[in-house]
Amino acid sequence: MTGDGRADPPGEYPEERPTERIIERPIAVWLGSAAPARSVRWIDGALEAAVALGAATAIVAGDQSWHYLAADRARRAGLAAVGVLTELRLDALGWAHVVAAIVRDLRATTVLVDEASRSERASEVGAIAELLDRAHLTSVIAIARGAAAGSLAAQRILGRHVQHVAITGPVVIGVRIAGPQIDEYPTPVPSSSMRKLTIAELGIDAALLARHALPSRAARESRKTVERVAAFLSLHAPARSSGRGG
Amino acid sequence: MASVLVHIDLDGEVPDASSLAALAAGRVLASAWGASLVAAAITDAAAVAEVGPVLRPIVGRAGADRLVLAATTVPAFPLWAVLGGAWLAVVEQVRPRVILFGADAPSAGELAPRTAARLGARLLWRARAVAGDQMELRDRDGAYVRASDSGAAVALVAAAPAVWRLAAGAPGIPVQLLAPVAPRHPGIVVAGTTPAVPAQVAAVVVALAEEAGRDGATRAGALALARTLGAPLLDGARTDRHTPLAPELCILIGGEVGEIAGGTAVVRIGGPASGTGDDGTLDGPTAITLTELVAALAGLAGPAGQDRP
Repeated sequence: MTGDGRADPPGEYPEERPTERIIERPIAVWLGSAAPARSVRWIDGALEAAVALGAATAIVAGDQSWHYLAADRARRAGLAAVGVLTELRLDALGWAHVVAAIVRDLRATTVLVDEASRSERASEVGAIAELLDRAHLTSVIAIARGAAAGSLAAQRILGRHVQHVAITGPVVIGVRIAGPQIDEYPTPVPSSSMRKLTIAELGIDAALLARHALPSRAARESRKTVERVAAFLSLHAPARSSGRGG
Repeated sequence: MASVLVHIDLDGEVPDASSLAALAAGRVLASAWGASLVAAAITDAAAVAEVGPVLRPIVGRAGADRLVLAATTVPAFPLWAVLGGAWLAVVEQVRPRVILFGADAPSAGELAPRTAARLGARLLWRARAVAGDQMELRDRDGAYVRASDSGAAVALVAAAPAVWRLAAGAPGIPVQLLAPVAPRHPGIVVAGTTPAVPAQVAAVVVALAEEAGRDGATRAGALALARTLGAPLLDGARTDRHTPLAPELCILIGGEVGEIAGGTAVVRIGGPASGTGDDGTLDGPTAITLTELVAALAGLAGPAGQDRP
């Protein structure tokens, strides 16, 4: 890694020493434990938001192909990356234990979480913040350095409005920020710029993670009848009244 | 006796509609499980005296056995950083078996996942009370909570039970006031709010592809569906194909519109199939399918005029 916290330029990667303490970086970006279900634009958006805030590290967990993709997107954004290679399937609190361990090691004060690329990620924002005992914000659509030194200015969705929030101190922020459009991008290739860690190296008790393991499930079937789709949509229909006058 | 705790978001002095739907689901569960139903709201310390008398009869008629009013020492914006301390005081006081939030209530997304993490509880997204062999909460992905389960659960409730009615009169349920609590994380300060473009912030978007939108019946059906769901209609003829969309749910009519985030649930009506990953796919004549879908949704919502939240 370079002295300013950016990833090493291609072809100049240092020899990997997984147990070495990672260089401190104030910003960490949790990209998740699986590749985005659709576009990578929200991954790019989270990475770009992190770059704008300071020296940042992308954190990723999961299988090898997802590591290649995440490392590739991080490298394009100019970020260092840390990857935990694992086939575990965990609930929100399980992944939060993994992320919190890396964040403590990085001594990162601000953690961004891409909560748009997969539906399960929104649950992880509060869980990571809880384990780190920090403030958290969800549904953030824009973030920048604030006017006061060390502060951040965020905009988040609140119903049909945008709420403007000033932030000081350590925080975990769920972001829903799209990067620029991508007409075509090359297939990711193995990257040596990602520092690889194992669950054991993070010092997390395997028994603890076992409690947060998710059972294997068959792939979800798309609903194909009007009745089933209506039942699904009804879970998103607005409630009718505020109870005024009852 | 075990308790079912329902967080009540406030719209001024009255409950948010989504919170009332959660309270209705809580009533059904509590009755089936032999539990007590506790409604809890958080407001500014200065407003407690005004909120209590208004809120008490409303949540009483909706079935609550008890109301807990907690207070913050600062304006009660719907953020964990502001409400978290007061909310944890409620949870500590009630020690519930199940905690329910209205899925579309303003502070639900901030409070529910963190509450689940703090308690080590299961978290259900967009759940409803379902009567099968036993009364249970079941979410959109099939995860469920039953009375016989061990451990706590937190659920964002998306729909009121099919049949329920506010009770007549104004039951004098007990009200418990908790001492005001300072913000848990004072480094988060709300600077204000501004209106937003609906399609950029809406939880549900109905998107009509350009070619499908040329058919009048399909367009009318799309509008009717959007109205039913309280969603904006995104016109493919006026939308760049690279427009980023990240709502909770997007209904694509006649084909792709914009570029959709992976976390978004997608239902396709008409148009080319996408392969895997969609939550629903309806083939057949698009206009007729839309008409049937709107009718089915109306049927699920219950008879017009029924006294529901």
